[in-house]
Amino acid sequence: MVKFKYYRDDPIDDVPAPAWKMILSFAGITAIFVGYIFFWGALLSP
Amino acid sequence: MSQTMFAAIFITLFFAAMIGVGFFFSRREKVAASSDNYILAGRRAPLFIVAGSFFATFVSTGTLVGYAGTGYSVGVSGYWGGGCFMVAAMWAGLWIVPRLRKAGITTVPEIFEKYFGGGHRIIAMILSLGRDLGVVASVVLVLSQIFQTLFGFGFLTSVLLTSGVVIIFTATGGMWAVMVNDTIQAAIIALGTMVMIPLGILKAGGFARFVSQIPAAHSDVMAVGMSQTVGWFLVGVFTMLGYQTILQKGLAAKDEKTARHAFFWGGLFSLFWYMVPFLTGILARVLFPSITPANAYYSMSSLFGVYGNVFFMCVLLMSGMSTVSACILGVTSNLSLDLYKRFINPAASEQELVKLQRACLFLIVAICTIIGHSFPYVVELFWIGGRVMASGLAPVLTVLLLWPKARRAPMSTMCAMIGGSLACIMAELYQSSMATHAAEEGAVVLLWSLDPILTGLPVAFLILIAGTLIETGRQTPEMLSSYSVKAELIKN
Repeated sequence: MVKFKYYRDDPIDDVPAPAWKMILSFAGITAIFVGYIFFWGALLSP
Repeated sequence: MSQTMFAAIFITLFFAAMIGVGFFFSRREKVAASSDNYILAGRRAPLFIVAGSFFATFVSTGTLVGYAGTGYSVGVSGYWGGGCFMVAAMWAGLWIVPRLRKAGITTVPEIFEKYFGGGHRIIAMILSLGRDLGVVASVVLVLSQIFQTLFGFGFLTSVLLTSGVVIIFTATGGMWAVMVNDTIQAAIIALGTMVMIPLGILKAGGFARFVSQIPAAHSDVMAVGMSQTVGWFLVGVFTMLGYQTILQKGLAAKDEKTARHAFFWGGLFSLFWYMVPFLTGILARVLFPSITPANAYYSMSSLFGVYGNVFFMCVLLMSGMSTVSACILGVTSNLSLDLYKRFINPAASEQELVKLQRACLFLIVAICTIIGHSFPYVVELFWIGGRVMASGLAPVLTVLLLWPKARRAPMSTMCAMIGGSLACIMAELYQSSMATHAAEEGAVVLLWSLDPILTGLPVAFLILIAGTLIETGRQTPEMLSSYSVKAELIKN
């Protein structure tokens, strides 16, 4: 079996990363991105 | 003053300033003192510099010329393939970069060593190098072409001058010089290219006249179809999530808050700016309806007279130099830390490492130039490397950082990296062979083109998630105790 190092109190988990906040933030940023391209699509439509 | 003379003066001043920045930071920041100082600016970079460097690294010659060509061909829908990098970058700044900083690493492959060991680190390094080397090889060639166009120099002279300047300021000032030069170039690139749009609209006879001449498909945001749109989005998101050159900017920031803000605000600005090359392409389509798409940027540059043309060629030069400098610094960190210090000479001192890192810069550019010039099809292969990295490395890195269970699954993480990469390569090879076969048969066929990342990513995620659940399900508390190590305290 391939070995691994197990950290009981891994320092990187000190940075909070709640799933709902991660999903919401991704959705929010994607919404800005999608809104922006549709804005240009509408602006450039004859 | 002739075009050549104006270009010579402008570029000489620009090159002198960049080299000056390199020597200035070499002395002020003592970059030769340690690998951290050299590769990560001593982890002391302020917000403005990190955000500026972030933008400049994302904007390369491929962005200005390639995306203008995409805008010329398909219009505004091409933006799906450009702006999505920023979606992932802004998100990574919130959740990924702070965790990478906490791990205290310098290179992305190092995080795999932290949990699993050298084998994982090597695989991660190979996947990471595939993309960066491709970027360096192709951009170095474009830089030399710009010089050949402006001054009529030969290939070798052009490469020596453009790459030579990049190597000198990167070798002397390390990440500090790269980031400060990036920020200066970012300001000129952003302002210069944004000015091109209203000037181009004026040349087209005003906004209303310009809009009336745009082909209908060019303002349709879904013109390329759903499959291509989703493919582009996923390529952008996952390429960014494993893009070490950008992630290292977050590691170089002076603290976590600075890193978060730099990625968020730098990403937001870049997201808005990224429409500019596509608008340039659409303008070229209206003003020059019968050129090849690859010439869209060059044709637009030629609209603004001798001085304007030189200026926009210099903007192109800056975009390439900023990307190359950041990428070669990232590659040199992989070669020196992930390979040399880890496997060849673990006792190497910090000063020895910096010397090696400086030497590596020359080596990387030389090899990439030779490969790019003599074997252009290898550059094509390297470009596929970006998708392979996005299929194999990026999903595993992201899951590893956010899901603690995955850190206890060495087999699944290894298999996911290899499986995702192989699936992507196989999909690419299969589609290429089908296209070649169809061409040989002379058949008129409708080729169903699927972005290879749409094959690689599901394979990687499936192996990773299912494998991790199975692998960790068999682990007993006693077993975990035997593998337990004390986490080192890492300062932010």
